[in-house]
Amino acid sequence: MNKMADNTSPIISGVRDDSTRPLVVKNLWFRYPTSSNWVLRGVNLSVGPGEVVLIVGASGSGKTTLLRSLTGVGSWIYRGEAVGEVLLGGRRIEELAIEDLRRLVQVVNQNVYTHFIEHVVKSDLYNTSIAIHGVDRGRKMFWKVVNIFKLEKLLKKKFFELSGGQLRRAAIAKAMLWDPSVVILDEPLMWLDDEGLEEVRELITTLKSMGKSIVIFEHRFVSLLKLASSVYLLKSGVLKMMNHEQLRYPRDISLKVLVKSDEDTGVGSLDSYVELLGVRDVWFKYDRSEDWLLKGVNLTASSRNSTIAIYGLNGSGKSTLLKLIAGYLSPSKGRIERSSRIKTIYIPQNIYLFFTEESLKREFEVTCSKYLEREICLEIGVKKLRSLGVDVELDASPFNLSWGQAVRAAISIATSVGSDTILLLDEPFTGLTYADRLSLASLLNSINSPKVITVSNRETISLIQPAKIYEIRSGLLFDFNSEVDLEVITAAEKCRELGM
Amino acid sequence: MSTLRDFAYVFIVSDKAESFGLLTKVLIPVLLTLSLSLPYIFPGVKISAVQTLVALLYEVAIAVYLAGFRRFVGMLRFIGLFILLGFTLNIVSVFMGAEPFDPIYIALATLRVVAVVLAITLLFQMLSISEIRYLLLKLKLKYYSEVFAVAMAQLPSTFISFSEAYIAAKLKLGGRSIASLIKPLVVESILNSRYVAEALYMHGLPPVARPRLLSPLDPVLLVPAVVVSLLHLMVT
Repeated sequence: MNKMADNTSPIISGVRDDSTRPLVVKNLWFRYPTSSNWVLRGVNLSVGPGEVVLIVGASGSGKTTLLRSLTGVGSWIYRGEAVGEVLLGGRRIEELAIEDLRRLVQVVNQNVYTHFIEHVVKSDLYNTSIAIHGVDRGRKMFWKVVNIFKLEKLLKKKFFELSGGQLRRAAIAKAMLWDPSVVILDEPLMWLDDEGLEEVRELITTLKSMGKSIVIFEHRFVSLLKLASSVYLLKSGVLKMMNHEQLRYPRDISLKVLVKSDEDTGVGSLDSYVELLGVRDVWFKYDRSEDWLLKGVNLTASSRNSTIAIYGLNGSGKSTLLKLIAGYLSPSKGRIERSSRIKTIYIPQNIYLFFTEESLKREFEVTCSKYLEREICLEIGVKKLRSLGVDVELDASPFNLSWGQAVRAAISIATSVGSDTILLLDEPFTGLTYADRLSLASLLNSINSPKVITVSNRETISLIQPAKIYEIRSGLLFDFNSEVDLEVITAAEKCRELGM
Repeated sequence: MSTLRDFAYVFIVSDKAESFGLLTKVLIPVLLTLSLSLPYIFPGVKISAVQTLVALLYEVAIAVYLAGFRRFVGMLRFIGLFILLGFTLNIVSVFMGAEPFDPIYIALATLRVVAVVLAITLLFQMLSISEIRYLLLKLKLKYYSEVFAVAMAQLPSTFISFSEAYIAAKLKLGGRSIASLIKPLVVESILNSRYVAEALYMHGLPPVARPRLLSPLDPVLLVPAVVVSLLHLMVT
């Protein structure tokens, strides 16, 4: 790696030299060509066979950069400057040919869709295996991986038809075709529901039993703690080993953050106990040949402070229900009634798809100016953004915000048109750290607009208080009793203390 | 959503196409497109209404067999865009001073456009990404074969993002400037391209396997296609 010429060059200090371990990182520094600041500042790491290393950290702490450095992507694709050593199987990463590198380390990134070229899973994996190993060995390797990762039923499917957990399984299986000694999982629980989470936990156990060295970067780490051999906190580019118990230890938690505030952040005025939304015996299916996705769903939002949370696994129909309420889809049977006095705003799961303008200022103008004067819109916008802790300029592009900031900015924009708005939020907690989830829950609980929020994991739904909580299952809505998950709250509080 | 999903499937190969050889799968759309396009290439050549109708029926039969009725309807929506465009051009040309067309002529011309577009759509239904890459490589277009593979692989997720962006923009902007939804989709594609680059770095592109060129089932599709394509020689 490049030697630095200036005074800020980090000094490579003594770290144990263990060339037999699959992955060793020695005093690694890294910065991008667009900045003089080091993103990684002397990272040391050593991972042995069968070890699972869990790396946690806040947005912007350098997790993605560390991941890119471990595979050489940081230098070779992003043209960054790296100082220090990354050793794979005892060999320096920059000395490895690309084929050798791929046989030593594989990454499953958070957007697993990008791992597939052929639409049909079998074609993609089979062709890859043949390319790596040749025809005979490639065929054997393909079937071996199919058996280990239980892919038989997925082979004929197209990758975009798989559930989140299945897709992750297929992507990990594709990585394993290379038979690497190190496997890196970037946010493996992203977009996953409770079933998908269990599936990934099983996959990690399988990889561990195969003796693979596993490095996991994950926000939702609580459910992975038991699998981890060691846990590290990455903060300001420095990696620090944590004690499991530091993140798990039960403490007296103040739940005041979850208590609903009386503060009215909206500008509208709706009478209490007016029925705003009525979903009446709604049945829905996409195609005549398919089973009903929704079977006689009934739902009402009857006061302006009404919060409805819908918990369900992926594919259970909760996003479809939101799209029906939004008016994008029409019920096959039944009807949806919306009060003419209210507006509806939809905040998608992929938060960046909410934004349509080049600056936050324009976002407020185009969204709010239909209802209020432009100056008032901007005034409200600034006030809301600041109250939600988004300290960026109004001229900033919403697409450059971090995920957490983007979610808060979207909610500011959505509520700037007044509290006479029904907010439809599709999985707003996805991609957030525990601390950010707690902040968002607190924020949502304090907004005086009616809301319908979908969630696919139990650990998050308990944060939305108070709310009428339903579970959607087999096309039906059931009352759902949720208790506050103290383990998650503990993790969130701990994350706040640790500044992540 | 459903419409969008069906529309996306227009560009995705059917499982049933695996039973046929590459040559047949290329020849059928090419033969049909060429024969139906003869009047555009050689203005003196005329195609009878019978031939156009027979070609259309044949294409519908194949499309329904490959894609199923529901997705065939999705294809028709796609083709509907071309019909609308052609019809609009005809109307505008009349207002611009062109002589009014015979309604029967317009109807037949429209049917022929539908048949040509449906023939082209069949290409996507019949050829897998790997097969199209193989053909491009044979044409010494290696770079385009790689670009095509990456683009087609990302198409389904782009369609999924489209519906999300559409709902958000429609409700937020109230139907005004709905074209604004292009911006988040472009940004999303750019962000996505970084992940694609990283995934390609770790896996590379799968090699192009030599596809099966011929299959015993080929005559079932190919013979009627040849007959339909040569029908104008017999009818006119």
